[in-house]
Order: sequence, then structure tokens, then C-alpha cells
Amino acid sequence: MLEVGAIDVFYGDAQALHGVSFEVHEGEIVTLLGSNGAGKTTTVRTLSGLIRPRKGTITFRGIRLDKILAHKVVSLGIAHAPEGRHLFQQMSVRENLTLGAYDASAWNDREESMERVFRLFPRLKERSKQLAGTLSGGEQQMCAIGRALMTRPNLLILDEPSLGLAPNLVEMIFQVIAEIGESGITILLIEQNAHLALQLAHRAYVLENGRVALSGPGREVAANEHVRQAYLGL
Amino acid sequence: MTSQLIEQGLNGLMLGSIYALMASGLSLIFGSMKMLNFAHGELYMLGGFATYFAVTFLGLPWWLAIPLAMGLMLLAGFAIERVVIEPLLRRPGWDDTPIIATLGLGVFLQNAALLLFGAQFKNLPYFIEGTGSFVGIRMAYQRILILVVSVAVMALFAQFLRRSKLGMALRAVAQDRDAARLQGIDAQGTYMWAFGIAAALATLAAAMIAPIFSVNPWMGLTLLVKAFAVCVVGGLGSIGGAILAGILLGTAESLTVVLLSSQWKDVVSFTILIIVLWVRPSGFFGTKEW
Repeated sequence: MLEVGAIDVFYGDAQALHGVSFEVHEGEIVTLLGSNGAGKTTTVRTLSGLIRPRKGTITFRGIRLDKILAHKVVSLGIAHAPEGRHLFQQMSVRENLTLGAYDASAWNDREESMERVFRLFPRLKERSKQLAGTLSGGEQQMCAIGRALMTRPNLLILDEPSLGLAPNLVEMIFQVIAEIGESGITILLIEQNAHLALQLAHRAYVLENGRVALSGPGREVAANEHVRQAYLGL
Repeated sequence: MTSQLIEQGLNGLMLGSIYALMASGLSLIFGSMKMLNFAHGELYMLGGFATYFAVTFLGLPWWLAIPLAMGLMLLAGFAIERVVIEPLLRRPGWDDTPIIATLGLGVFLQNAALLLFGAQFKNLPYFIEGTGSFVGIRMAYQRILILVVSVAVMALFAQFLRRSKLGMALRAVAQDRDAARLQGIDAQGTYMWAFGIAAALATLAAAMIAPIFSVNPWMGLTLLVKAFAVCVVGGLGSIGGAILAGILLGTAESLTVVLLSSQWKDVVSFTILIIVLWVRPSGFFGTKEW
């Protein structure tokens, strides 16, 4: 479904990614692990067209993503809930969700999509008139995931959905991610919480210093001695 | 004295609504593009000339001439954004150049107007002749018309921002550009709209006030300074703040004229500016409030 082929990404003169390659297949949950600054967020921002790779290719269902403008990526069926949520703070939950369906392919079905999101996160329905900036961290994350689901994507990119949340909320968010995966949406999950991510994911890639250091099925990666020491603290 | 005060208060509201029309356009551009538009006074000036020619050359009634001028200036705004601003915004690291470009554009447009339309001040007749009076308060119908039309258009504009798809996209880009692009919003496309809409609002301001002031190549200069002050007092990028501050400043100026003298009105408005910046540096509403 998604093939990333040896991309090099630079910020000015500083190279952030060195020949990163990976793939995500239809129906999978794939996780990218790595410490701060390893290049996880840079990778997914490149997928969404917010940054351009200097070298390499990104292909989604046969279409070259690295040639497409950021705002056109959505209409191909890719939704991205960015790191730090990036909600429209001064807008209500309902407005945030509505903007999630901005693309022409999703606009007409927005009310129905919103009902689906509310079924997944009943809390958002209670808060629908509240400004996004006044929500708690967990509610903001629900809103960010909900907004990404409004286009009914085929591929959902989640960047650090558990960042800064209390443990019980982290578990709740991961349950919802599992549910979304079961509903047939392919998921690319960026996480620092390697424990939970490796339990959930079919396959995992470990990024270190802008390079793919290790990859394989979730269980295999979880059993790797280096991963156990560096990421699982065992 | 009381009736004179009330009359001047109403005059202030009228002047304030003109400031508000100008300032909300500036705020729209600043909010979405994070850029000051120094050519805004010249958009106002061109809008004034467009209305003047629509009335005198084409012989249109004012209620047709103004929408026509606004439509023309909407297109002119689109064109300016695409030709002058956009190519500069595209270059990484050239973030400040569009502002300088608008400064140059202002000078260019002013001199072009001088060359094409001449230095002579041009006057338009009142759209509605006569003066209304109500319990001893007298007010020219033209001034009442300005107030009513400006308030109606500002209300429409607020609803447009709040409810329409394009309005929501403009607010989304103003609040978080990258997040907006992730939702499929063409941020560059909204810039063009912001510029065009701001030009149309400036045109309305110029057209409504033209019978009272006059149309000339320099008419935008003083107004631009006031409009910037209004934007800063209201909170840069905040539309609600622009409206509130515009009306406050206009009223304060008019009342100064009655209570002190007309020489003091700029002193008063800039004193308000300084005090607001002192007490609340981000203006009434701060940035990003819409």
C-alpha cells in the first residue's frame, strides 16, 4: 500500500533522514519506534508532503506522494494526526471535526462521519461545543484522532498519540487504535511507548539517527536484545 | 451640549466603522499570511477611484457602483497576491520580503494613480441627500447610511468567517497552517482570498466615505496609519478586536473634537494606542482570536 524507498530528508544543511525505507501493507498496523530526534516525525511529515525528500521515492497505491502538494495528499485516502495534536485551538470540537472533512471527497458525508467519531469517542459529543484549546490532554488527543478519521481514510498516520497522557488514558487510546485497525483502516503508528506499540503492531521499524536500524514482526522486534535494553528498559 | 455630544458620538461611530472595515481587512491578511500589508491604504484609494468612475463615467447609481467596485477590487486583490506576494512567499528564507514588497507596491500604486487620474481632488455627491432629525439630534442621511451599511457588512463578514467553508478554512490557516494543510486545505489558495476580500472591504470603506472626504491619490495614507493603530489596539489578526477598537478609536476622536479641538484628535487616538500597548501589549484580544 505504502512504499518508502530510500528517502533522504534535510533541514537546511542538516540531514535528518538517511536512506530510510519501509513499507506498510493493506490492513496492517505498523509502528515506527525510536528515541527523540531519531527522525520519526520527520518521516511522517515527509509522507504528508509537509517536507520534501531530497532523494528517494514515496509511493501510495502506485501514486508518487513525493510529487504531490500537502493538501492533495488527503484526497488519496491518507489522514495524519500530527505530534502535539495541532488542533485549531480557538475553534469548537465540532468545527475541528468539520474541518477534518474539508476535502471534497469527504465534505458531503461529514455529518455521518461525525456521528461515527462520536460513537468511537462519546466524550467528544459531550464536549462538541467547547473550544478545542480548553479540552484536557486526553480529550484533545481524541479530537485529533477523530479529526483524522473524518475523511474516512485508508491509511491513518498517528504521531505520538500517547504523548503526555495519564496511564489509564494511554490504555484507552490504544484500545481505540486497535478498534480502528480492526475496522479495516491501515495504521502507521509513531510511538515512544514501545511496550504498547509492539503489542499492537503487526510489524515494527526502529529508527536510530535517521536510519532504519532494525525491522521485523512486532514480537520479533520486542524480543531483540538491543530493543529490550534501549526501548523497553528490560 | 448633550445633543451635540450625541451627534458627535454618532459621527464617531461612523468614522469607527470605516476604521473597522479597513482594520478587519488588515487583520484578515495578518492572521492568515502573518504579513503586514502596507499597500492597504492604496487598495482603499483604488477602491475610491473605482467607485468614483463607476458613478461619474458609467452613470451607475451608488448601490450598483459600490458592488461593482468591490468586485473589481476583489479581482485586483487576487491578482496582486498572485503576482507580487506569492512568488516571494514561495522562496524559503524570504519571509520578510513580501512586507517590503507591499511597501513598494503602495508607492507604485499611489504614483500610478497620480499619473493616470491627476492630482485634483474628486468629489462625489451624497448618496442620499438631506438630514434626519430625531428628538433634537440632527444627522446627515449619508452618515447614517455609512453606519448602517458598514455594520451590516461587518456582520455578514463575521458570519462568513464563522459558517462558510471558505471562512472556516481562512480561520484554520490563521490558527495552524500545517494542521490546515493536513486537512486538505490549500493554504496558498486561502491567501489569495484573504487579500481579495480585504481589498473589497477597503473599497467599501472608501466608497462610503468618498462623498464626505474626497477621492485623491493620497487618501489612503492617513487612514492606513489609523487602521494599523486599530489593529494593534484590537490585537493583531483579531477581527473582533479590529471592529471593537475601530469603533472605540473613532468615537474617542469625534468626542475629542467636541470637547477639546480637532487638533487633539490624533493625540488622543495615539495616546490610547500607547496606553493599550502598555497595559495589554497583545491588544484587547491578542492574536489568533478568530
